Amino acid sequence: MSFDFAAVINATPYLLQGLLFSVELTLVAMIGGMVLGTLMAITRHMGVPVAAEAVRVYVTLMRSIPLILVLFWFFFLVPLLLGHLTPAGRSIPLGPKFTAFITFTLFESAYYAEIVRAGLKAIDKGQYEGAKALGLSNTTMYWSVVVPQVLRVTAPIIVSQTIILFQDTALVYVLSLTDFFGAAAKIAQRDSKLVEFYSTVAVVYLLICSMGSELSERFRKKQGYRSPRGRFERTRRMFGLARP
Amino acid sequence: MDDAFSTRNEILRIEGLEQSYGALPVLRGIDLHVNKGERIVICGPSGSGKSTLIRCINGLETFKSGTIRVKDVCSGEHLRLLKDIRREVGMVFQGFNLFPHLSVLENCMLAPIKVRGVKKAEARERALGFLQKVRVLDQAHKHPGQLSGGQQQRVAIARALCMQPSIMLFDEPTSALDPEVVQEVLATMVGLAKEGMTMLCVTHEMGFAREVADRVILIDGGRIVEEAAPAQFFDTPQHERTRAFLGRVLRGQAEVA
Amino acid sequence: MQVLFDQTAERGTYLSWLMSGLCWTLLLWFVSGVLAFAIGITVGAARTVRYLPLRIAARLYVQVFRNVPLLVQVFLWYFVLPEVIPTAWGNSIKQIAPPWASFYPAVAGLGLYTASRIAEQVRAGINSLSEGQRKAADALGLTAFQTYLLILLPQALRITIPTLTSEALGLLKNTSVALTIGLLEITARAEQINEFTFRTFDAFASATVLYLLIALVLHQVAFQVERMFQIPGTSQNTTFRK
Repeated sequence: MSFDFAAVINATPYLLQGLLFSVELTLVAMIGGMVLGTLMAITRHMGVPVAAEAVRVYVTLMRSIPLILVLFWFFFLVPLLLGHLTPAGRSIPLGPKFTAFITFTLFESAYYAEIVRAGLKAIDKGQYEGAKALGLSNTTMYWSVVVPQVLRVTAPIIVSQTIILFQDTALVYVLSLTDFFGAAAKIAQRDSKLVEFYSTVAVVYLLICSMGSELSERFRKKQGYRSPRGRFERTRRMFGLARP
Repeated sequence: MDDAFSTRNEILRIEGLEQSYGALPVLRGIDLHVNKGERIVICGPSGSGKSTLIRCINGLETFKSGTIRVKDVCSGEHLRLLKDIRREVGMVFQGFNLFPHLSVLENCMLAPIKVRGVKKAEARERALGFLQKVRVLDQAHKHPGQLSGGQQQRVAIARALCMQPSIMLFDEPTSALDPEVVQEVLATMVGLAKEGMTMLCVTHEMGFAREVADRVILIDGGRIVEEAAPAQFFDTPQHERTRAFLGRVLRGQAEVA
Repeated sequence: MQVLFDQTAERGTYLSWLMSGLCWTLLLWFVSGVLAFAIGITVGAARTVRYLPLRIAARLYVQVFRNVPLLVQVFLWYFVLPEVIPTAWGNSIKQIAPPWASFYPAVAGLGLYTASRIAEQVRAGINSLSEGQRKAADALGLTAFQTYLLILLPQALRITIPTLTSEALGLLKNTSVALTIGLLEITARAEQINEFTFRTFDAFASATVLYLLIALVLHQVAFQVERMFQIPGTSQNTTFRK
């Protein structure tokens, strides 16, 4: 059995293009998901009357159904919905890339929301009281006091979640989008070099994700300061609930 | 009645304060008033409601009925007014509750800037001044995690002082400290009292009460049992429960000493 | 949901398509789950033994199977495995008729991927036990294998029930990946129904409801399991709460 290295090397530019999209998608979904997720987590933590329930339903829903199904939902339905909103009433072709960005951001936000929510609960209650006693507004309390601490504490889990996100971007395959995996699959099927390209893809993912895991481990070890009552153990136990 | 307020002498007035945790009553009608410059010490057995009482004052706990007035602001009426109350009321916690990710200086500057709208430079000046007063100026750029318990609590006191409150509340400020550093914090509090700060202090430190308090109050079972000047409170307590409490506490402190 | 009861070209109903998808999902979930738990617990335990080569091997396993996307792993099992093994075996694999031809690679991919995740949970669970447990077992004269089987794993598994429940739910969601190699599970069927009837909302809503129902049942079962196995006198972390 021979391994056609040349074919892989020749295809590298196309593969890199795909990889670029994978990275783009990951970054957009991570940043958007974290912002949205943090807002949702705070909403739920504060117990805002209607919004907190809505967030709970949303997060539960998003975490209970497969990503592929969510991709199908958004891919087919978002253009339809937008079409209803416009006077013409026709469905607007959003472009698969844009749909993917929105879908992944919304999907990941549910997972980030749970991570941040657990972090908010793990922060020593005294921090909230100290801030309130000083008269800080809720906005200031969360922005200047609580969230910075939560982000430090949850950094390893967030990195892990982002690595999972990066792996999940491969699923845009079902929408025929050309991410890193999609690019490899296209060429593999076109040139009948399945072994070469799928193996290469696997190895590259392995390298990237391993490096990411290392980063996560570094974060875990580098916890700069200690809160007076050592809440880290409790946080870590809570975080066993990471999404696969 | 309102004359006290109009002379701007009364800082705090509590009337008929009641609170329960579920079916369990914790405060059964507390009446208390504090004038400017007064130092009040509250003591009592654990579970007597003394912590709940002072946490009601700045809204960290809600209450079922009664009124709390801080200067001109009535608590419990509107949530917005809570902010006004908290501006005038400084609080020092048993667990310090310093913000670990900010430096000592930043801890002290945060609230004046965000709540009182003080400019950054002025907040910094103020913070440095109060840090010097509590004698932790040399730690200004460190983070709380690098300080000892006594130092952290003194920073907490400075942080509350930076808001220039009308009254300082202390919730068992030395209970979580190692015995060696309790004195340094108490000394700081004594210094504050001597400068005329209005203080309401929940503590077990009877020596501190004797030295500094204008009135000592015993709370037991959610009610004020006795309220008197230190001399009378410690030497000639009127109520049986006061005598019992003092007996227990002073015996315990004598064993430690 | 009307569409489910319409006739298909082959005189069945679309509902029967969806039910067929459900069966495949559940079967895939169950078989992969058993495989994943068996391997995962073993590898997780292996990561905590004193014998270094075993620890390293386990570490490598987890490293590899966690860091390659599930989709890629499934493709490797389906497309690449028949090519890289000796020709005779490769040919016999290719002879397997669909849908089983898709089923076995899906089980392999899902099982081994999920096993790596379970291994990490089990490892964390074992490591959270105090060192004294092992010492006491040693002192009593138990072999390493007995120690794990009788002392360490029973405790570790109880501790990790909430996270294992989470993994089981994740596995359920991941079964949808099998549609990429042609297995007609729930999501695949929903897409088929959409293609045939253009009733997009109905099709995907039905699939969504199915997944939610299964997840609901899973949570109930997990709750009961945790209650059943709770050690008297300890308070465990609460079960996975959504």
